[in-house]
Amino acid sequence: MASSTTGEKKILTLKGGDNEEFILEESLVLQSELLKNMVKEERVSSIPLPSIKSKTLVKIIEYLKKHAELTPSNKEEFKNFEKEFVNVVLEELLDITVAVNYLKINGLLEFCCQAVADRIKDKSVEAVRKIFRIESDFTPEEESEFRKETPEAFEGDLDDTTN
Amino acid sequence: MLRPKRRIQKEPRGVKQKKLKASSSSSLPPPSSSLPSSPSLPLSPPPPWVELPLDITANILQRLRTIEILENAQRVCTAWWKASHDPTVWRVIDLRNHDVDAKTPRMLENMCRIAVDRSQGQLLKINIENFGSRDLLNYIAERSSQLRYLRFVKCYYILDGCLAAAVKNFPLLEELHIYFSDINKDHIEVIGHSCPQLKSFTLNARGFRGYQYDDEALAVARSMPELRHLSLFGNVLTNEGLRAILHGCPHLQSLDLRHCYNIKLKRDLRRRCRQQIVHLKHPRDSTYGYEFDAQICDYSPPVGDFPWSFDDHFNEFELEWW
Repeated sequence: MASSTTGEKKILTLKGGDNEEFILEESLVLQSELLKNMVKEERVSSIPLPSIKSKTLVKIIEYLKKHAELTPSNKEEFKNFEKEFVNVVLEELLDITVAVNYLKINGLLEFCCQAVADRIKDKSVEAVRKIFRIESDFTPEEESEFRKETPEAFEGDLDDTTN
Repeated sequence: MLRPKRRIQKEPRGVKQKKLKASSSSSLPPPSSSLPSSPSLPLSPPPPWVELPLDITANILQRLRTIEILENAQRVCTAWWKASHDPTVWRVIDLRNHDVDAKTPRMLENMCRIAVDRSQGQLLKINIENFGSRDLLNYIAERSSQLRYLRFVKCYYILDGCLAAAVKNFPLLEELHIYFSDINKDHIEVIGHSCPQLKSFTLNARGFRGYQYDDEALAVARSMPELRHLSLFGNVLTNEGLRAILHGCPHLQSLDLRHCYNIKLKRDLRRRCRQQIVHLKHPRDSTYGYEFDAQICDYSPPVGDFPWSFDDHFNEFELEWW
């Protein structure tokens, strides 16, 4: 199937998980290694991405557009955009990270990983579990095993129990 | 509405855990992140963080401080525990003994060894501040042949001699930064010869007046021909030492001579510096922003009311604005 064209710009359709369609310039998706290969090698004009929610796809396309417009003069503006881009609930950040990893948009993946790390920073184990809604799945044996590995590191915990 | 993160952090851990235990039994707490929340969130299942591919989780964890990974992140769940054993997480180790969560030197050494073990020989960059021992340095040296960057701050007494022997295991070392630690001229030469790719060298000390000594500078000049960046903050070298460096390190681009009060940059030497060095910091340049104590030990005999002559000062000023 040949890509449809408008003037000189090739147009491509991305289909999100809920069948919502996004029409965009082919040059934009070239930032994704996965899509780039599909477009270049298989010459497709419509790419289904059933594993990516439309909401997530909207965010990613928004990023690709902004990134394509990046010039030395609007660097500051782009930085602010990036900051806002990851200022979302963690669930959404996870969806974006997973999708970006799948699409192989390397720069954005690094940025997402940093954004997740920033949410972990300066927080206790319990706080991280609460914020990320992760249940501890360590068996008591495992707990004691890694306590053995760094016994001094956990002196603080032992002190706390006496408070 | 939002509670500052710092405040949460400063609460005693035991108290915090008790509070959490009390609340978790009744209902799921709302996400405490400071972010716009979607109305449906409390009803949705927990996001599957634990299902992230291991390399992505490792990519996230490697951005945390070494202490943070060992004390907190790896203890969150088994997926993170597994990811925290990925060697890519430990390519950079940064351990400082002046964090808010104070640790004893022994605890930090223990953590450092664990981090080095987990790097499985892939360690590229390590920073150690305010702790360390000869044993630890040897431990790192025996396991980190890929090391490119090594930084010691206030690791008194452990470096001299020991470092010269250890760096023989770091043939790829490109940067060595030493702050407030003694190291003698012979060992500087051994280091230079052992690390032919050394591009950046720092030997920063406390500023000192009333004493001249060029041997360290001469050792740098003799053994580190590939240097691009050199910092000798507070060194007692003289013009002779500086000339030797300019000659011995022809690729030098940046040179920090702040608090090097024996340097008098006049005429030829000034011209020579200007020709060769792109970024030169003069002995009396501002220390604003310098991350360590920039106090000076002054043992010089008093000269009038001023510790330096007006001529010198004038020349510096002139050069700066040239």
